[in-house]
Amino acid sequence: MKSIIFNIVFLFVLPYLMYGIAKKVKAFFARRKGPSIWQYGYDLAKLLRKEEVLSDFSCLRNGGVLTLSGVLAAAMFIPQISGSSILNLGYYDYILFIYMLSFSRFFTIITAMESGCSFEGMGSSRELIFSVTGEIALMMTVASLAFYGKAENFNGIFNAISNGGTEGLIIAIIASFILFVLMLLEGSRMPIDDPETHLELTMIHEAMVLDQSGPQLAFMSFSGMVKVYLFASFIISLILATCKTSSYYWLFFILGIIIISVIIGLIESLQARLRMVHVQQYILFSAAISLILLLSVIIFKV
Amino acid sequence: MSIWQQPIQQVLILSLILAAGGIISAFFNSRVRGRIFAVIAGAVGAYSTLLMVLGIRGQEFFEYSLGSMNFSLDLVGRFFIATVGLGIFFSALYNASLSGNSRAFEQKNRFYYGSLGIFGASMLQVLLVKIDGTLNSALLFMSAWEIMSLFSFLLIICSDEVKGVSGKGLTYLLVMHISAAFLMTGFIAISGNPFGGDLYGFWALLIGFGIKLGLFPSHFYMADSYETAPGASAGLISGVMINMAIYGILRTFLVCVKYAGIFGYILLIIGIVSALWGVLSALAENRAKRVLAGSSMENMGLIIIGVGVFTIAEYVYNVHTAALMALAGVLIHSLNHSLFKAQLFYSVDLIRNHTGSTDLDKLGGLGKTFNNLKRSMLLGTLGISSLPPLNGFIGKFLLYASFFELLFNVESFKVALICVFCLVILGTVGALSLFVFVKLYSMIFLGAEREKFPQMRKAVENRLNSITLSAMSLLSLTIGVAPILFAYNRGKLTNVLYELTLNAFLIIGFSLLVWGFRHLLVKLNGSRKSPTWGCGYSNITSRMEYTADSFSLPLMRLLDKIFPRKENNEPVTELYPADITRTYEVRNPIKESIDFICSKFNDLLGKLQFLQSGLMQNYLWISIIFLVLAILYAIFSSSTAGGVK
Repeated sequence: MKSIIFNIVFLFVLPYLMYGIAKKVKAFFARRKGPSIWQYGYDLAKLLRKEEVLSDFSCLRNGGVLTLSGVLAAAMFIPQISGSSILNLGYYDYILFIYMLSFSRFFTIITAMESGCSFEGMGSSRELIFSVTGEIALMMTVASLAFYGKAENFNGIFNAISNGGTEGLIIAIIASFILFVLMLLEGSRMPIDDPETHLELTMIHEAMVLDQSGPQLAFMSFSGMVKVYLFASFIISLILATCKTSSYYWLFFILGIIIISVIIGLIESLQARLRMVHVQQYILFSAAISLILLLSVIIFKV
Repeated sequence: MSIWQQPIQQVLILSLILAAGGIISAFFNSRVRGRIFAVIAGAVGAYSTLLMVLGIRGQEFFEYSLGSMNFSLDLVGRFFIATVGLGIFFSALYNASLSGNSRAFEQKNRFYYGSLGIFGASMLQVLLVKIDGTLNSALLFMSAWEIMSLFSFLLIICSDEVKGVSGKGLTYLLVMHISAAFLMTGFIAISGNPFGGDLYGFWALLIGFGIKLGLFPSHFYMADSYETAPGASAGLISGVMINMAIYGILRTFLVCVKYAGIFGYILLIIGIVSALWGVLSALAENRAKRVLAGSSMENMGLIIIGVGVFTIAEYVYNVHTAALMALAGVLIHSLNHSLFKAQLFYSVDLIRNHTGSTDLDKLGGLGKTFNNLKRSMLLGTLGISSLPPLNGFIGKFLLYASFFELLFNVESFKVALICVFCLVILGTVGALSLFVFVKLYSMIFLGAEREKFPQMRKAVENRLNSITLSAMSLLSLTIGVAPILFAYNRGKLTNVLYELTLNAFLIIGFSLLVWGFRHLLVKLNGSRKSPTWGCGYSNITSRMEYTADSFSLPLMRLLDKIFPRKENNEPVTELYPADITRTYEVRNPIKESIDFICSKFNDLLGKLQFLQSGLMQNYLWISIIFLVLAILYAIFSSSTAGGVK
C-alpha cells in the first residue's frame, strides 16, 4: 500500500520534472539560464485555472479527459519508482499497456479532428501513420521480451532479465534503445517532432492540440509527459533489473529519470528535427533493431 | 429445467415461426408489419441469447433426428445461433424504424420482411445440421446453405438504388454459386471418411467457405454488393451471414486431424493476408459502406488467424490453453463483429437516407444534427477499432493470449518466429484499423459541415432507430465490460476474462474521475465557444478542412504499387482557372483482372455467334456434323480400346 501511494504521488511529479530537466539542458547549451525545472508544473497549474475555450464545431467535449484517463490507466501496469507496478494483473498486462496508449491516441485524434482545422487534420494523419510503424517496433519488442522470460506480465519480464546474467544485460540494452526511440515518438520529442516549433506545417503532436485550451490542453500536455515518463520507467526498470538493486531502488530510479531527461535534452540541443520523410525511416530503423532483439532472444532461448 | 432439454426442437420450431412471420407480416400494412416481425424476431433473439448464456455453464451436447435428417447442437452452435438471433432482431428493428410513403418503398419493405424471415430460418437450419461427413448431412447442409445464399441475394436487390443493383446483385449470386459448387465438391470428396478425408476435399471446402468470407483473392465482389444493398440487409449479411462460413470452417476442419498441420499454417497465411489487405483497402476507400466492407474482410482475416492458431495449438503441439483461448477468441469475436458491424452499417445507412450520400468527402460536421447517432457510433467505432473497454478488444486480446500461450509452451525456432510475427501483424492491423475508423468517424461527424443537405431536418432520428442503435452499442459495451459472462470454470481463460473485466472498470473509473475533475474546473472557471483558430483566417470554413483523401493519402502513397489509384489531376494553365475537380479513385486490380478474363471470354463467344444464324438448314447441318463426329469418335475409341486389350 505504501509503495502504491509512493508510485501515485511521483506519477504526478516526475513527468513534468523530466521535461523541466530537458529544458534546462537545452538552456545550458544555448548559454542561457533557462526557466526553473518546475516550470512545466507551473504551466499546467496555470492552464487548469483558465477558462475553457472550445471550437464552435466541437461536439464531444471530453476528448482531453479520455486521453488522460487512457494514459493513467496505462500507468497502472508499468513498474515505477517503488520497483513494482501500481496494479498487478496476472496475464498479459503488456498488451493492456499498449492498448491503453492506443485508447488515448484515439481520443487525442478525435479531439483534434473536432475543430475542423486543416492543421489538426494534418497532425492527426501524421501521428497515425507514425504510430502504425511504432506499433510494429513496440509489439515486436514486447513479444521478444515476454518470450525471453516466458513471462505473462511485466514482473516476469524483469525477473527473467535479472536472472539472465550477460544475456539479460544484452537484451535489456537492445530493448532500451528501441524503447527510447518509441519514447521520443510517443512524447513527440526531437528528432521526430519538435515540441517548440512555431511552424504548423512541421508539427505533429503540437498541430493536434492547436485548438485546445485551459484544462483540456493541460490534460493533453500532461498525458504526453506521462507517456514519456512511462517509457522511461520501462527502460530504467529493464536496466536496474540487470543490476539487481534492491535497497535504495527509488534513488537509482530518480537517477535514471534524470539521466534520460538529460539525454533527451542533449539530443534536442545537438540535433535538428528530421525531415518528415525521414521520420518514417527513423522509426522503421527501430523496428529493424527490434528484429535483432527478437533474433537474439531466439538464439538465447531455443 | 426439463424445458431446456430439447433445444434443437425448440430452435427448429422458432425457425419455422420466423419464416412464417416474414410471410404473414407481408399481408399487413407497413406500420404494423415491422412491429409484428420485430416482436417475432425479438422472441427469437431473446431465446437464442438465453440458449447461449445457459450453454456456457455446461458442456452439453444434444442430438435429434427427424426422419433421415440429423441435427446436433453444442456450445459452438449455441454461440452462432445467438449471433443469428440477435442479428435478425436488430435488422428487423432497424428496418421497422424506416418510413416512406412511396409505392416502391412499400413493395420493397414487404419483400424485405418476407425474405428476412426465410433467410433467418435458413441460417438457423445451417447451424443445426449435424455435419458428420456423410453425404446425407452434406446434402441437408447444402440445401439450407443454398436457401440462405438465394435469400441473401434477394435481400441485396431490394435496394432503393436504381442504377446497377441487378448487375451487382447478379455478380453476388454468381460468386455465391461458385462457392456452393466448391463446397459440394468438397463435401462429396470428404464423405465417408471424415477423419481421414481427402486433401483435395479440404482444399475445395476452404475455397468455398473462403469465397463466402471474402478472404484474400475472392474479396472483389464484397464492396460492390454491400454498397448497393440496403443498410438493413448489408449489416445483416456482412455481420451475421458470413459468420456461417466461419462456422462451416470450424465444423469441417476440426474433423481433419490428419491435415491439421498443413491447414493451420495455410489458414494463418490466408488470415494474415486478408486482414492486412482488408484494412488497407478500407483505408483507401472514401465511401462509408465500402470502408465497412473492407473492414469486414479484415475482421474475417483475424478470425481465420484465430482458427489457424487453434488448429496448430490443438492438433500439432497439443497446447490446450492456447487452443481454448483461440477458440474463445474466434467465437467472441464473431459475435462482436456481428454486433458492431451491423450497428455501423445501420448508422451509415441512416445517414445516407437523410443526406443521400455516403461519400466521406461530402459528409462532415453531422455530429450536431445526429446527436444520439454520434454517441452510439462512437461506441461502435471504439469497438471495431478493438479498443478497451468495448467488446472488440476482448476477442483481439484472446487472440494475443493464444499466441503468447503457444509461444511460451513450445520450444521451437519455427513456432517462436511465427508467433512473434503474428503478434506483430495483429498489432499493426489494430493500429491500421484505428486509422480507418478515426477517419470514418471524424469525416462523418466532426469538423464543419462540408455540404448543406436541404432535405435534412433536425428531427431525422426517430425514437425507434435511436433505441435500436443505442441498444446495440450498449450490448457491445456490456460484452466489453463483463466478458467474464462468457467463461464458467474454465481455468486460465476465466482468469484472463476476469482480468479484462477489471481492466474495463479501470478505464471507466479513470474516465469518470478525470471527467469529474474537468466538470469541477469548468464550473469554477467557465467554458465558452469561439471560432476555430486558422492561422491568419478569421473564420474557418469547410473548404479548408482536411478531407478523407488528404487524411489517408500519405500512407496510401507508400502503397501505390499494391493499391493503384486513378488520379484525375487537371493541370492549372490559366491565371484564374475555373473550377477544377481533382478525384482519386482506388482501383481494384483483382476485379479488373476478373473483368478482363470475362470480357475475353465474351469476345470468344461473340466470335462463335455466326453459328446462331436463325436458319433451320444451318442448324440441321450442325447437328449432322455433330452426329457424324460422335459416331466416328465411338468407332475409333472402341477400336483403340480393343487394340490395347
